[in-house]
Amino acid sequence: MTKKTSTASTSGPILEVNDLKVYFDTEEGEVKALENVSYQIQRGQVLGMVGETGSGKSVSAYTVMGLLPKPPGKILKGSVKFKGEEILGLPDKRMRKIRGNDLAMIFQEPMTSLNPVFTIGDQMQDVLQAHNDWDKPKATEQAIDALKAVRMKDPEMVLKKFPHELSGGMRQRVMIAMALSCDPELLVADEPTTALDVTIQAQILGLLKEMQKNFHLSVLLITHNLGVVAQNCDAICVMYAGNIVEYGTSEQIFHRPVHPYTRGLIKAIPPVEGESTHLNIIPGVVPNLIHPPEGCRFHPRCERAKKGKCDSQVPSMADVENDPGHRVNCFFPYLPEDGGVA
Amino acid sequence: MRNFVVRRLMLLIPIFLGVSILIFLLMHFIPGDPARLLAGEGATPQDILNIRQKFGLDQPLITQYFLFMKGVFTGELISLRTEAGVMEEILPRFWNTIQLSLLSILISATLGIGLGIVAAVKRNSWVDNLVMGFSLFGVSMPVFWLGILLILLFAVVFDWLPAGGKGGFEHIILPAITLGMATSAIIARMTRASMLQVLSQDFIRTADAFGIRRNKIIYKYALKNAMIPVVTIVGIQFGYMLGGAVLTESVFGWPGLGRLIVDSIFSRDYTVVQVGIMVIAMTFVFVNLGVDITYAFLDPRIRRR
Amino acid sequence: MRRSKRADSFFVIWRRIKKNRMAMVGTFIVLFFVVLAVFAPWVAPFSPTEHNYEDSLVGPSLKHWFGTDIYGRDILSRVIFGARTSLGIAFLAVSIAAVSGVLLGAIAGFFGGFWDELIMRFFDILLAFPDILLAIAIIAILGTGWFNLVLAIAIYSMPQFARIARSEVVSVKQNEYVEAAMALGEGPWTRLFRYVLPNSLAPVIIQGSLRMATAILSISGLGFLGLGVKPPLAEWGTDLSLARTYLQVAPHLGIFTGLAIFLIVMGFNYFGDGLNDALNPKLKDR
Repeated sequence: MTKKTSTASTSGPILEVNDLKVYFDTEEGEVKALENVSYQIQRGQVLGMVGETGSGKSVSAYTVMGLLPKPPGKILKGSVKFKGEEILGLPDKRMRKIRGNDLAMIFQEPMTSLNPVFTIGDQMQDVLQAHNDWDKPKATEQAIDALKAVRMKDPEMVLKKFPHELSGGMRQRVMIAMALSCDPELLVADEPTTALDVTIQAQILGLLKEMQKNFHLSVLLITHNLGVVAQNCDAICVMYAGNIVEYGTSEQIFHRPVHPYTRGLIKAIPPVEGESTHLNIIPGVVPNLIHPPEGCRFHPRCERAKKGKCDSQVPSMADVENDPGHRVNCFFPYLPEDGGVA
Repeated sequence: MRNFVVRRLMLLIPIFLGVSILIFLLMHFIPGDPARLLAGEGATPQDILNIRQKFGLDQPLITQYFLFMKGVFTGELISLRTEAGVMEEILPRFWNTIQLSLLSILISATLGIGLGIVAAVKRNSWVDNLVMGFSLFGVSMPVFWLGILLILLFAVVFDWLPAGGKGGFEHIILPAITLGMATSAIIARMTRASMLQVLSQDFIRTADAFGIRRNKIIYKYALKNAMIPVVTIVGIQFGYMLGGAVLTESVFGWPGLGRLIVDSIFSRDYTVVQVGIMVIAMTFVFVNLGVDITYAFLDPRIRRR
Repeated sequence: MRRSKRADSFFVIWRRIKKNRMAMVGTFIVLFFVVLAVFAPWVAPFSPTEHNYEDSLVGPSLKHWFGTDIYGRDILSRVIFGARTSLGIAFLAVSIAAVSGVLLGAIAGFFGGFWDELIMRFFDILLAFPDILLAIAIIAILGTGWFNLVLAIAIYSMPQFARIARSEVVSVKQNEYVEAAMALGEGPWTRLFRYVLPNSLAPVIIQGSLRMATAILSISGLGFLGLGVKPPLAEWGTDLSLARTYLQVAPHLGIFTGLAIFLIVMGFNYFGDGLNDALNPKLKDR
């Protein structure tokens, strides 16, 4: 497809997030939404980011995209490098050139994410014309190609439809087509299947995986569903209350989890993949991030927490012994030798 | 779409019947004998009898209603004061009211929508505060006082514009501004609220995420959505103007239908009052129908339902 | 327009008003005029109706702060007594409209079916008359005079209250505590009065305040058209109509009376809007 204009480096990770600290101002107080968040996505890699609602995974995605509403959000610290270039604090105009073109995003709610009063064709053309110097017929042609790429039946017809005339699955397909139409390098997928029927979920995930391979895409896949990341990701980071608590390959996370929270999460997966995604086996509730717990934010719910340590000192990410690439944010992690939880 | 229009038209029938019956009954609520009232003071019993027969007042109520409606549509109904056909009296005056209201709604929609968009885009800035201040000012302003102030300023102090009457274009400027002030305030407020509401929607975030230019998002993506409720308000306000114009017409001596109705109340010309009120109410109902259809045109979700 | 399920008491509403600057400004303006109206005979420097042709059309002076009209009546005194007329008629009319509108709307919503259709279609017909046209039509039938004015304003304010009460009732009707009351065997009227109507209180107060603003505008509007109260009763609209006639020679006539209408209408609008913001904080800025 199109040739990218970016002059940034062609080696190294596609996305590097370092030491992000993001707060929100609310009437009740300052929500400490993200703290010490660092991760990388390698080229062509799929990073799964998993955590409960309110763990900060969406905030982290919005920050990367430059879509964080400011105010109330504020980025206090950290850097986000896309292809080696710092994109935090880029001027709005410059950021808009990158978004949709090099950096694309799809959302959870295919029902509300498309503009209800314009046709699919109109919206797809706008995206294509925002990033390419094309006339309308050329943009239409490209839109049809993009719809064909996501194997949409009868793309010419779909272009003439309004969003409400399509099913949820089809709308998400349109979103994916739109996201891929400008041939991005990194795709951020924020709970792309959560709002869909179970059968459609599998189709959309399959499609994403296929597109990732075909287009040599890097993907940041955000979900609260461990089952989704298990099958689709090269690396996984687990978030809890605004921190990354564990990072590793799919195998490391699922077979040798070392953080007590991760272990709790895996235990909470229902034996048969079903609709229930309540992760309520870990005792206690997600903390209020206006007044997060002192020390390790997980310690009030942690089975291994020790007085005088976990409730007063903040742990930091460290390598897991004897397991290269596996990192954990815990004073007293389990050992990889402890094996899985099942 | 055609079904939609047909269905909306069907809904008009009961309203039309209700309004016409209510207005017809107007006469019968007037204390005393309508025939005596119609005959005027100093009428002989024979006069009253003649009137009673002429207007079918000796017929059953239902028959009288149909006679009345027939009179309205055939133009046979006459003004009691001038003996001219009621419609001949009303239509030129109604046209004056329409002219005034049209210019007024044009001014106030342009002003109101413009201010509303600016206020929403520059939310919480001084511009926003100014627009919101103007909006509260506008809705609290009694039209006739605003008219008086404008006359004081532009006719008495500066002598730039005429204080009233009908003539060239300069005669309609002050009345149109006066009539449109409250409306522009209401439209500004509605536009601002609607824009803010739309700008917080998911699909705006999607457009942001795809790198669509901010101006395009505001003036294409948000505006079309935001205009849906605004169009309703503009239409309804236009309808209200038809009824509310009477005050402006009185301040400026503008020979509109509202003024004719009030004058006819004083001269006890009840046929003109009845038909005049009915013409305005019916126009209002039709304007509202037009609004609904425009609404459906703007919002594809309603069109296909 | 959703609020908490719990019925708002006057106490809670007042606490919220105190927190909202706009509502407080509105409250202050309204109270100011209410005090003027109540104590008019003591506050006003002159009789509002006594003619004094020696002082005809005098501009503002130390003796007559706001000047005098063609009959030499003191404008300030007429403004003060005018507050009495406007507030009195508006309050009476809006109260009648609120009580009967809420009751009819509640009945429509509560019993549904035939009654709902009948009542709401009737109000649809009333709503087919734009602006003060309905009031004009009613005055045309009843004739002028303060009591007819009350009726005209009341009838034309009723549909809004009915709509609020109806939608409020329909949404509250399904609430658990109403169902619980049903299970306890309480009759429909008990349920209506004890559980459903209290929930409509806040929106009715908001609407009441906004309708007071409209009512005062309509009263003075009808007065301006000569369809209001009968002279020589002090009434703002009637006075402004007189002012219009002498505008070229006595511009001061056009200022103060209009300002009084503007201020009190703004007071009620501020109060209603502020209260709306205070009770529906989520809708702020919307």
